[in-house]
Amino acid sequence: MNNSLRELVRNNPHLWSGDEVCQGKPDGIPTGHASLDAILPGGGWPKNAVVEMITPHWGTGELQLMLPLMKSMTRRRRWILWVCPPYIPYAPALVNADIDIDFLMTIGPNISSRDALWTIEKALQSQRCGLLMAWLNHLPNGVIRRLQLAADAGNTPCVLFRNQRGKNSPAALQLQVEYSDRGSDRGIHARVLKARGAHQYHSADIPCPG
Amino acid sequence: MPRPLPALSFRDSLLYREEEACNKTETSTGQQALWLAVCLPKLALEVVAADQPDEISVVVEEIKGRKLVHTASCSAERMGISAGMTLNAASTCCPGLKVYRINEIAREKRLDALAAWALQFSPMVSLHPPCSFLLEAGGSINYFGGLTAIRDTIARELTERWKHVFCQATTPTPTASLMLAQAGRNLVVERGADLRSVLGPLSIEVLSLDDKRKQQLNKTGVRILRDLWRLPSGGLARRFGTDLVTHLDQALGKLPDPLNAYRIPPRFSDTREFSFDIDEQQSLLPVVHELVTGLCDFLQQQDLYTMDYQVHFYHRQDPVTMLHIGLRQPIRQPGYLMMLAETKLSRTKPAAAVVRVMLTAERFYSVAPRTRYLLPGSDLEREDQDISPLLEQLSTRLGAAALKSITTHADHRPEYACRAGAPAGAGPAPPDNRRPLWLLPKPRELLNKDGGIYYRSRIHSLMGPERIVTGWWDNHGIQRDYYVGTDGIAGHVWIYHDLTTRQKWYLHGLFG
Repeated sequence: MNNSLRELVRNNPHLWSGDEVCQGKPDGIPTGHASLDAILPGGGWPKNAVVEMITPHWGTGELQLMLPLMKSMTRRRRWILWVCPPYIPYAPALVNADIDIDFLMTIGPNISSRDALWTIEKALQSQRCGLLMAWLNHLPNGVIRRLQLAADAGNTPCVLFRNQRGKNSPAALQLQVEYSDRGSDRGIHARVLKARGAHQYHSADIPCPG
Repeated sequence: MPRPLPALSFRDSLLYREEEACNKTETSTGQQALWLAVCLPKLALEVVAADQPDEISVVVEEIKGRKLVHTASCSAERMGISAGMTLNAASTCCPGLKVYRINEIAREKRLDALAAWALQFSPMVSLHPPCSFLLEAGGSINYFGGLTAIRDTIARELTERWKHVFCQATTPTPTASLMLAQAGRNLVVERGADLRSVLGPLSIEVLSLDDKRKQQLNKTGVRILRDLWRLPSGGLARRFGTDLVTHLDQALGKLPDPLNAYRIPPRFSDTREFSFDIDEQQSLLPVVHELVTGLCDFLQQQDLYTMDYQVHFYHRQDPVTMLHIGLRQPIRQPGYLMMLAETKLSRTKPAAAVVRVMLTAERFYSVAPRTRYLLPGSDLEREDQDISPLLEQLSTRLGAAALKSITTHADHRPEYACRAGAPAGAGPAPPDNRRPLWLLPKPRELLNKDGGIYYRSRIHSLMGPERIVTGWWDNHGIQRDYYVGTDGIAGHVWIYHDLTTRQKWYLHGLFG
């Protein structure tokens, strides 16, 4: 950028450089995985927005990604709600991952999707839980937008786990999670499909212990 | 999950709030305090066999598997049946004996009702279960025109209205009155100085001692209270406990005797009538709101909390629609109670047009205030948010069964090591072995073809086996070899080989 341009940007409050906006402030919640933090705008999970986690099958590593966040939330005595989990969250494994299971509450899975959406919205608006995770497949964009507003209003992060990617999803972050098998090294391959505040989308390999 | 607060029964809560020392020797009107004790020796029988006064009947209670006579009717007593007899012995005395089982709840309720009734004679009424109550009559003498008038009114009403056999005694101390009434003495002692001579001939049974001390006293030749008074009180306290001496001194008025005052349990009920029919749910909301606000005012005034309330919608013909709103912990915040009512109302449609709405609440709790953190605005205080209002709202709509917390449980069988439901405190630490984050509710059988195990594709073993053979004692025994495997597509899986007769492979968990 030449000097006169720089002068212009500095003196005029109505002008700014696009780079600065894209870099954003590091106001995300650290994911606990350094390589994932590096590719997310804000350096972590968005604080008060909907994250869509897309995996071909349940159990591909998506829960593994959430473990550090769950750990830090329950350590801060904040509640985590699991809406319609596809299987039983297995307490011994969660305890071994250092998560305080006293602060977990599952809702469903035998509830109608209307009730599930109502639950998510109410929980997000109430500002009373630290994290909300939901396993729902059929979500129109309008609904996601509504949840996005609720998450914003309630200042609560919401993670939606889905098997298929929706087109033009209004979620703040869309992450494709795949299992990567390199010999004995187990890992997760995460690819950003969409992220608010970023203009280039990257992918990362996240090693998984165990 | 927050631990629910211990629910105090209403009377318990009063105990510590209103422990009043009521041993004024003078009442507010300047009259000497006189305690009127009423003992209903046949109460247990009268509540189960009303309207049959001449029946030969007994109430039995079961103690250690033996059926013993608790109370015998007057006509049964004439046949030689007495309390404490075995039922067999009693039946031998009188073959046509009518036997009732003891009903402690009915007895307690009747005593409560009698106490409420007795409040018309005195503001200070005290219950002494199982079958006595006390009231302070000294302050009411002028109003009723003499102690005799009070005693006569009580006697008349107890006989005619309540149909109880009773005994009433009036003395300057509550303990002495109770002792005399329980011993069956119908008398009035107005001067404290006379108490010793009146109580002297009573049997030591009136002290309600345990069997061991009763036998000890019997062995030393003590039969009546006068014998006790002849003994030096220091030695008596050493041998039989200070409570015995205290009790005796209380009877003579030498020591104060604090009592618990009976209060009528609060009840809230409020109604709104309409001059027209309302059939729109939206129009009902303001009415319900008004009623809930009334309830909250009531709770505030009484310093109480509620855990459930009912809203009844009356229709012209159809039966009443009732909404029962239950809470997870005692609450009195109006906005909160209203939100629950709204949620419930949006799910339940009154059957027809509504002409009347009534709100009732009967069970109340008094609650100790929440612990505050020492440092204001500390991290803990800010972040330890109470999630119960949210859970309350969710369970009102979804049903309490939809909400589950998860806990660990000490069992080597994987399916029993994790439990859903209300938390029972911190669970045991799980084994250090690698466990999956997801457990399948029911193990899924895997395809076993050409020596390979297939889930989505062929599974390779990574770790294992971990043999789990346990549970033989409750018919849900397992014999399994667990492996951690991978199918190359979906991540790590937890599979097992059933070592029992079936010899099959199952998928039991996903490492997520």
